[in-house]
Amino acid sequence: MRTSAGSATWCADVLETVTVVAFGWSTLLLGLASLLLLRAPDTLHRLLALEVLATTLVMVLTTLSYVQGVSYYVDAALALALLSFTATIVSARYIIRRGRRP
Amino acid sequence: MTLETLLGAIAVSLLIGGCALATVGLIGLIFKPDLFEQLHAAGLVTGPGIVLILLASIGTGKAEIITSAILVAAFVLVTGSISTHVIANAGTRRYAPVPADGADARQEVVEGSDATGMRVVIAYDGSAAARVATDLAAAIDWPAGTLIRLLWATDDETRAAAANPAATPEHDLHEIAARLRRPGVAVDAELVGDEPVDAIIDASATFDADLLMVGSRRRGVVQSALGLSAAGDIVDRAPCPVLVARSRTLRSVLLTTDGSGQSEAASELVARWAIFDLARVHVINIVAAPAATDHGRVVEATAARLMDAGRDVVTAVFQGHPASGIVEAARDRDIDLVVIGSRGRTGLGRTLLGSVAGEVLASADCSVLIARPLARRPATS
Repeated sequence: MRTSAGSATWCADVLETVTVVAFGWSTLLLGLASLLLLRAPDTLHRLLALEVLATTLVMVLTTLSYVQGVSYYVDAALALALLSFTATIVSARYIIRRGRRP
Repeated sequence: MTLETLLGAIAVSLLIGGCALATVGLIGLIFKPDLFEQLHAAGLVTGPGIVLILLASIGTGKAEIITSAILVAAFVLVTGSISTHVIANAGTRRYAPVPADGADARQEVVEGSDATGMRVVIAYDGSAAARVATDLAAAIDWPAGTLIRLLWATDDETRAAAANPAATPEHDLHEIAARLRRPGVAVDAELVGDEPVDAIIDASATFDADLLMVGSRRRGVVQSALGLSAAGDIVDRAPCPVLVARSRTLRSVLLTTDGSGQSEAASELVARWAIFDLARVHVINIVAAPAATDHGRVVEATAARLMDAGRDVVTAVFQGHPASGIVEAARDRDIDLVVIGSRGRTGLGRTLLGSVAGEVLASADCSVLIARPLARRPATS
């Protein structure tokens, strides 16, 4: 059940456009997340902001990988997700150990 | 319609959905000031937002991209909840939840802890100095609802120097717990491992202690100067006020005030804690130069606040060197406890004792309470 070549190209075009737009939008969200980091009033808020920043970066890398059609950016995103998770856990534990002082 | 176009259509909708959710989440994060509400919004970004975008990899049609993306999605799903939990856990220790009616959260927490008693950690290592701390704890009139945790934490040196090196900790702890227990006071005990100082700090933080009591082992002057005193190390790193016990009663208290923020914390502590209800409080200010009028005013203001709180107050201002003046005044007036604020803060957040507090701690004959600001900040600054 193949459609005509024209409509197949049109669908592929739409996909490509949406992917590029998603990549651009993710980059904007990255800027938004950095704004969140700068506005964080204290340590725990900064910790959360960093985690969100890392997640947004994973989004950027993933959409870049879609745009380019290569897989290695997603591998980099995997490594980043692993490290940011570990960093969050360790930082939160450190904050608890330090006690109630701000 | 081919499989390709179908997958392409699904990928488009997933991409749009993922970006939309991530945007909503980030906007929520920016506009919500409270940590727990932010966690809620962040869950949108780190959960469905990113997973939908990763699932959109099926539109690319390339196996390696899809595999890697599925791996990342699985990992993010598993670890997202763990990250949220640890941040929320740290948050509950730091912030009082913002009440629904918008009342001052700090006030609620403070009054709550008065009504339900104190949480006290007593570090015991079998030495004679620690005995003094437990004797003092037995003599203090704790408010109803107090929880006391005894920590058996020792190192080889102390154990060798103790009166009876073969004594088992359980026997000692049982005896002390029996002496401390009374209506309204619950006592439990915990054996902690090596590295006693680290263990005591950790246990105080975990237990959310209001007060940490330790005995004072006087090592030589050189060792104290080099910072090898265990009590000093504990005082530096404790998450709560620390009482270094050298006396067995709590009948008279000396509070020094110089108008600084740290001495405000010290006087607030004396005003609020119920254990000082029956003690006589001497409020003094020692000045290096001839007494000016504002020094007297600071003392009067502090004394007025303490009298409002129902304390029995005596005031004095005199001239002399701050640290040795405090020690001498404590000796002259037969003081059981000196309450002093800590001072100074390094970039790592560790509080180092100011020179006055450090000297008083080292040379006073009586117990010393190092006060730290107690209030838990509300989540909205």
